[in-house]
This record gives sequence, C-alpha cells and structure tokens, in this order.
Amino acid sequence: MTENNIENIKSQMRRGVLEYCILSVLDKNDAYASELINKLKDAHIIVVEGTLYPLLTRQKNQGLLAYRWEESTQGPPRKYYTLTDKGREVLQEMDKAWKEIVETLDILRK
Amino acid sequence: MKKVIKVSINKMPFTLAEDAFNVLKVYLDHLHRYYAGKEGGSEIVDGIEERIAELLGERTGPGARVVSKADVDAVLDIMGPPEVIEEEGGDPSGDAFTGSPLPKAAKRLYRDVDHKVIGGVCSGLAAYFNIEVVLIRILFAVLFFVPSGIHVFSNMHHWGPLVFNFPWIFVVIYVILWIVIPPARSVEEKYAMRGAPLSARGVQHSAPSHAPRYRYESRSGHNEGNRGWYVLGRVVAVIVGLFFLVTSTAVLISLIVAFTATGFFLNVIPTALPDLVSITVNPFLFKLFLTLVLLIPVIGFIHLGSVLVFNIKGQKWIGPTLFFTWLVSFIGFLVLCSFNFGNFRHDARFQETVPLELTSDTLYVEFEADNDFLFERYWLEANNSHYNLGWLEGKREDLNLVFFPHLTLVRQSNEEIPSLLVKSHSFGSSEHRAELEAEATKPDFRLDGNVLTLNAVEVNREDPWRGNTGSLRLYLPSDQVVIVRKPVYHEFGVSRSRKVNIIRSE
Repeated sequence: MTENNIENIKSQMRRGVLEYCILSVLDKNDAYASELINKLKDAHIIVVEGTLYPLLTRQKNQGLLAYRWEESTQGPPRKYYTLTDKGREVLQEMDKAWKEIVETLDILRK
Repeated sequence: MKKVIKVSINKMPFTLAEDAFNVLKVYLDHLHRYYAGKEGGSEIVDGIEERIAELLGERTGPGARVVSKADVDAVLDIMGPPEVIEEEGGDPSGDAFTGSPLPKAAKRLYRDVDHKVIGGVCSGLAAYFNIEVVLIRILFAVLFFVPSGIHVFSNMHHWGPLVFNFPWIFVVIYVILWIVIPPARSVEEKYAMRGAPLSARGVQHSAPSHAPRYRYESRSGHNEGNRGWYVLGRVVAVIVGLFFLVTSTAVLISLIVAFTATGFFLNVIPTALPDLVSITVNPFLFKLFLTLVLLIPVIGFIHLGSVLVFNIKGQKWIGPTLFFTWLVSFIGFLVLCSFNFGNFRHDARFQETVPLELTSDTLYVEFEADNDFLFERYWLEANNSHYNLGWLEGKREDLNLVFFPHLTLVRQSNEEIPSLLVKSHSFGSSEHRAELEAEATKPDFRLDGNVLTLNAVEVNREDPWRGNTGSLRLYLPSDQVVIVRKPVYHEFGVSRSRKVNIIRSE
C-alpha cells in the first residue's frame, strides 16, 4: 500500500468524524469559528482550516446548527455557533454510532 | 521601491505587497466564483475571508506592517487549497451543494518563463499540450543539431531540383516561437497557460515571484532531472548564442565596410546601386528599406546571442520591435521593387551588320572609356574566340559604372565579306522605349585603318542602367591576325586562354 493510499484513508476517516467533532465541541459551549478551529486543531482533527466553513454551512442548512452575532472587544462582530435541538438529537445518534464502532473494533481485536 | 496595495478584508484594513495581493486575489476570486449562486455560498466565503483576516492580523501584529507574499502563502497553506475546500462542500446526499464543476479556463499558448531553460518555449508547449516537458526538450535538442535540407523539385528541367539547405532551421523556428508566443507573466496568464483549475499549489507556483528555482523543483520532486536539463539547456544556449554572436558580428562588420568604404568587398557600395540603376521611386526610401532589411536581422541576432550566452533578461520590447520594423521595411522594399519593375517591363533587341574594309592582315582592337582606364578593378575572360571585359569602376568623382561589349571572333572563309555584327538588348517601360533604348545603347565602335576602337557604355546618375547589354561579333577570314592591344594584350589563337577576376592594374 502506497503512502498516498494511507493518507487517503486517514483523511477519509478524519472527514467522517469531523462533523461529529464539531457537534461535540458545540455541545459544551457555543463558539465562534476561530475558537472552534483552535479546539479542533488542538485535538489534531483538522489540518486544513478552509474545509471547516463548508461543513458549518452544511450543518446549519441541515438545521443542526444556528448562529448569532455578538459584539467583540476587538475587531468586527463575531458569529457564534450553537447547537439546535435537532443538532443535539443527531449528536446523540452519533455518540451511539461511535460507541458501536469502538465496540466493533474491540471485538475484532480480541 | 515596491508597489503596495491597500485592501479591506472582513472590514479590517491591510497593506499588501503587490505579489501578495495577486496571490490572495486569485485565491478568493476562485472561491467566489465557485460558490457564486450556491446556497450559503457567500457565508462560506465570508467565513474564510474572516479567518484569513484574523490569521494575517496575527502574523503582522499590531504594527500593521506590509503583508508579504510569504505571509499570504503561509496563511493560505493553513486555509488549504480551494479544491479541497470545495470538495468538502460536495455533500454526498446532495441536499446543500451540487457543486457543478468549475468552468474550465480557456487554454492558451504562453511561454512558461518561470520554468524556462532558454526562452520558455518548450515548457509553454508542454503546458499547452499537457505532455512531459522532457519529451519536448529532447525533441528540440535533437532537432537543433539536425541539418535539414528542404528539397524543392522544380519542373523546369533545365534548373534541376532546387535544394534549399538550411542547417539551423529549428533554431530559427525556436526563435520565431520565442518572439511570437507571449510570456505568461500575470497570474491569470499562468492559469490560461495550463488551462487547469486553480489550486493553492498552483497559486504558489504561478504567482509572479522571484522565488529561487529550487523551490519549485523540490516540490515537483524532479530536482535532479530538472537540474540536468537546465545545465544541458544552458550549454546548448551558450553554443547557439556564440554562433549567433560570432557570425552576426562578422556580417555586421562586412556590411558596415561594404556600405561605407567604396569597393573594399564589392566594387560598388550596395546603397549606391539604386542611383545607378534606373528606378522609378524615391531612392532615399529604397536605400533606407534596403539598409534596414539587411541590418535588422544582424542586430537581432547579436541581441539574441548576448541574451543566450550571458543568460541576461532581454528587454521584452526589443524582439517584437525589431521584428515589426523589419517586416515593415521588407514589405516596403518589396513594394518599391515592384514599382521599380516599371522600367523593366518590356525588352527589345537591336542588331545590325556592318561590312568591314580591312587594309592589313592584322587587325588591332582597343577598348576605350571616357576616363581611359583609370580603373582599379576589372575581370577578363579571353580565349581563342572570346574577349569579355567585365565592368569597371571609373575613378571619377561621381558614381559611375562602365560596361564593355562582349567581343566574339568568328572565323569564316576568305570568300565571304568581313563584317561586324552589332547586337544590343535593353529594357524599357514600353516596347517603344525599350527599342529606343536598345538602339541608343548599341556598342559604339570606330574603324580607323587597321585599328578597331570599341567604346564603353557608361552608367551614371543621369543615365542609369536599364539592363542593357551589348555584344560584337567579328566575322573574319581564318588567316586574319586579331590582336587586342588595350587594356590587356591578347592575340586570338596565339595568347593562352585566361580568366582573371578583380586584379589591380598598374
């Protein structure tokens, strides 16, 4: 298997869970885009920041997220993202699915 | 001094270096184009712009220094290539985005000056046809050294096959391509050259930059290969350049000498010829065009040679300017030439036979010119039946050429009457003019006792040359002794044959 292929699979895995990660971060606190990016970066889940924006918009369009504008002490007003009720439901679904995947791997590894 | 551009990104003011601005503009334009008209599209681009502003702000700090291209490159690296961002939008379920493919930029032929070895022609062709540049370079490298004879078979049998042998034809083709194909300098041109959709990597490659070459090579992973090609290309360039320099300098020197010093290489100054040949147009324009047509290619090749040898960046206006001036002069020259045919449209012959009364068994022939052989050069071809004296350059102050009739000796029986056949041929703007001209320029002769004097036809500014030629045929019995006394002694049937080109008379 070439290095390229491995990279490809890894990025597919990351992409698969990125939406789940966004919902997870917002479940605790509302956040504006840069904050969200920093958290995701700290957790090594995103490499390319630009990809976050289409995802956020998609999740907003699916009704999982909403946002509000808040004045900032420095610079222009910021867009704070927050989870909707539907978003919370989807997150619970995803939590369940994630646990199942982890269990599957555990079983397979025994 | 460096040009900077003030912009507002997400309502934050920034001062960008020009190259930085170009890179950023292409990046954002691309995203704007992609997301235009898509649901939530402007939101995405606004978000990205906001983040770019934030990251740039972090890098430049509170001092708000000028944003360099390196800053923008770093920030765009963090943001990621546009197509990766766009891919993210392509939802499999297709509920939000059904990202239509980017309209492909029209592909255009440019020279890839960022990856040039000589002029960027090969790399530009490779980009245009989307083939490996190595293949094109090999092809050109081989063709450069292939002498190519172009055979044109003429159906005029007495001419035989015409062969134009042009050894450096592919070098010339390369040079023409170099002149004709524009260089890809702006970011837009670089994209049009590849016809490829924009990518962040592409942005970094094609942005106008003076980044060292290794940067591109290390990224493309052909470092060693490219280096080799570069060296080989430079070697070829220096060889070809030296060839151009040496030959064109030699040609330039000869042209200058030929044009200024009378008869060092030629017997007449080329630019003086229009004065002596009957032309119907302004001789100044004629001379000007002739000079330019001859000199411009030489100057062009000297310039090109120095660019190739010293690897300097030639001023981009020089090539096109020279080429255009040359083209105009050449067309002008052709147009003037076609007008000039006016005096050469018709031709006519004149001939008459004059009986000779011989008083002695020896006939002396003398050639005579007005300035009586104050010439420096001539040519002569003499044998048992011919005495052809070539044209001479008179020593008079004003320009003049001297033509002598060709003399032929024909032996006949003693019963036939000795005679002289006078023939001339000339051109004119009409049949009538040609006839008059032919008669007027018939070889002039005088028989005085046993001395036949032949006069030259002189050509000067007042009486220019109209393509007239004259000849004389002597019909004499076989025992008649014929001796040319002047200017070079020759006894027909006794003196040995000789052919003399340009000698200096004492």
